[in-house]
Amino acid sequence: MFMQAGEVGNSAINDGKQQQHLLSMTGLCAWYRTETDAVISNLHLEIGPNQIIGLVGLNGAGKSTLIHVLSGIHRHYSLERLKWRNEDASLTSLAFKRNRYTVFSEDESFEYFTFEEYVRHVFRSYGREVRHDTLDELVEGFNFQKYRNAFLGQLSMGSRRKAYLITGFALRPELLLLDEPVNGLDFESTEFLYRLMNEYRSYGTILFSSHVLESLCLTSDSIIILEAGSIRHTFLQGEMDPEHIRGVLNK
Amino acid sequence: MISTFHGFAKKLLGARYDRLWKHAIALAAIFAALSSLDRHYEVSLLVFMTAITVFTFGIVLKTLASDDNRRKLKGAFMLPFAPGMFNAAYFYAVALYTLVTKTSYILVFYMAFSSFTAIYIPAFLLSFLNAGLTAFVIFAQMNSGKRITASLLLLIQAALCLLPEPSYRLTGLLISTILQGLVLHRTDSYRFYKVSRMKDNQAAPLRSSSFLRYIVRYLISHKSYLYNTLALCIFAGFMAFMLEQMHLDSCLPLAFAVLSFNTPIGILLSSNRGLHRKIQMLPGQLQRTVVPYGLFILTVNLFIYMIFLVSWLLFHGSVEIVYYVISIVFAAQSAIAAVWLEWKYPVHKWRVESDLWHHPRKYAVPLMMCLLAAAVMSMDAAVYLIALLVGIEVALIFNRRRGIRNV
Repeated sequence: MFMQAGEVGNSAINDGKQQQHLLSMTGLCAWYRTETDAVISNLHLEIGPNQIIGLVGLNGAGKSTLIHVLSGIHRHYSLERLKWRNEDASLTSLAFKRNRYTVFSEDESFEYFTFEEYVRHVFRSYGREVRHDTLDELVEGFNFQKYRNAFLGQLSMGSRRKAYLITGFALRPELLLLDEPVNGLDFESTEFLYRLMNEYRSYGTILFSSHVLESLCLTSDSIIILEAGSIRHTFLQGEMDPEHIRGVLNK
Repeated sequence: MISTFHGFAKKLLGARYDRLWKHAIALAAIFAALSSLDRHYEVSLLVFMTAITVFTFGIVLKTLASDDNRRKLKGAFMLPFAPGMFNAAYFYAVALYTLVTKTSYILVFYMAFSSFTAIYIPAFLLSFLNAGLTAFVIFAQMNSGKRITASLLLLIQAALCLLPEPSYRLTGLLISTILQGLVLHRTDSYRFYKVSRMKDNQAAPLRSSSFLRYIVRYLISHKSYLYNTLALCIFAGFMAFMLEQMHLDSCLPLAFAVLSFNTPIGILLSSNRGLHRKIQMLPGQLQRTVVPYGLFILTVNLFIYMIFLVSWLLFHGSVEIVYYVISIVFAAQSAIAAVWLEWKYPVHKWRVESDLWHHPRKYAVPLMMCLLAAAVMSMDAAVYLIALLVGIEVALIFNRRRGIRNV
C-alpha cells in the first residue's frame, strides 16, 4: 500500500537517484473519541514538490480530518514519522507551519478584521511582505474589489471563502491545503480558481479535497481516493477519467 | 410540539440528555457535602424568591441572546409550525436547561443551609416560571423594537419583587405567570431569531493589523462581555471602603486576587472557536495574538486595581509602596495565567455562551491568585518571589526558542 497508493508526485526512485519528497508521513492515525475508533488509520503519504493532488472520498472518509491534522489543529492523532523536505519535522513546528497554509471548508475566524487587515496579519505571521501586485491580480480575478475594506464577519459564505483563498494564493506557501475549495464559489470564480491551481505548480504543491470530480480531473496531477481513513487507490495522470473514478468510489 | 421540544432540549442538554444525570449527580454531591457542614442560616422567603427570580431571568435572557443558539433556530423555522406550540416547546426546553444546569444549584444551597418548608415549593416554582416567561416576553419585545413596553414590563416585575407580604407576592406571581404565558402563546416566534449584524460594514483602510484593535472591535460588538469589568470597577471602590471600615489593611493582596475574577475577558478565544482554530493553524501567533491579548488583560487588571488603590487612598489616607508592587505583579500573573489557559486549554465543548461563562475553569485563575495572596499575607518576601516568577514567565514567553514552542 505504501509504495503503490500513497506515493504521489515525483517521489519514485528513478535511475538510482533519490528524488526529493516535499512531505512524507508514515503511520498516521487520527480519531475523535477513542483511538480504537480511528477516522484515519495507519496512513502513509508521500507528496512530491510542485504537484496538485486531489483527495476524494465519501463523507466520513477522513479527507477533512487529514487536512486538519496537517494544519496542526487536530489534537487526537499519532504519527510514526513526518519528514518535510527529507528532514524530520513536527506538524506544529514553526519551520513546518511557515511553509503551509490552509483554507478551511468552514471558517469564521478574524470576523472583526477587514480583508486587508487579515492579509497583513497573515503575511506578518509568516514573516513575509505583501506583494501588492499579486494581491491586486487575485482580488480582481475573484471579483473581490468592493470587499477589500469590509469586515470578514460581514461577508457571505462565498465571499469569505474568496478572502481566504486570495490570502492563500497570495502567500504562496510551499504546501497549500484547500478543504472543499469550490464550495460556495460562483461560476466565474470557480473557473479562476482552476486556473490558479494549475499555475500553482510554479510555486509549490496543493493538496485539496473535493466532492466535485470535475475540479479534481481538471486540476490534479494525481487523485487519492480515501476510504475509511486509508488510501484505497491513487490515480495518476492519464488514468483520471471521471467515470473510472466514480466506478471505484461506488464499488 | 413534543418533537420540537426534544429538538431544542437535546441541543441544550446533549443528544442523550447526558447533562441531566451529570448535573443530578453533581447536585446530590454538593447537597450532601453542604449538609454535612451542619450550618444553618435563616433566609426569608422573600429573599429566596428574589434570588431565584433575578438569577433565572438573567440566565434565560443570556441563553436566548446567545449567537450560537439564535443561529440554530434557523433550521427549526424552516419547518412548518404553529407559533404557540413552537414558543411553548422552546420555552420548556430553555426552562429545563436553566433549571437543571443553573437555578437548581441556588436551590440546593438554600435547601442545605436554610429551613425549606412546604411554602418554598410553590414560591420556587412560581418565581422560576415567572422569571423565565418574563425573559422570553421581554426578549421578544426588545427584538420587535418595543423598548418602552419591555421597560414597563420590567418595572412591573421589579414592583412585584418589592411586595412585602409573601401571600401578595405569590398571588402577583401567579397572575403574572398566567398573563405572560398567554402573551408568549401569541408572540411571533420569529422574534426569538435575530440576525447578528455588526454596526459598520466597512472600516477605514489601515496600514497595519493589530490584534488589540480586533479585541476592542469584538468587545464593542459584544458589550455584555464588558459588564463584568464595569461591575468589578464599582466593586473595587466598595471593597476598599469595606476593608478600611473593618481595619483589614493586611487583606489587600486578597482584594487584588478577588478583583482578578473577570471571566468574560478571559474567554475571548474560547468564545470564538473558529478564531482559536485559525490561531493554532497560523505560525507566529504568540507574538501576533497571544502577547497582545495578554497585554489587554493586563491593562484591564491594572485599571481595576488602580480604582481600588485610589479608593483605598481616599478612605485610608495612604498606600504603602509594596501594594503598588503587588498590584503590578498580580495583574501580570493573572493576565499570563488567563491567556495561557485560553491558548493551551480553551473551552470548546459549550452549547450556549452561558455554559462558557459558568464553566468551572473560570475559578482556576482567581483560585491561584488567592493562594498567592495568602502567601503574600503570611510572608513578606513572597511578593518578591512572585515577581521573580512573573519575570521568568515573561522571559520564557519572549524567548520563543526556549519557551513556549509550536507557535
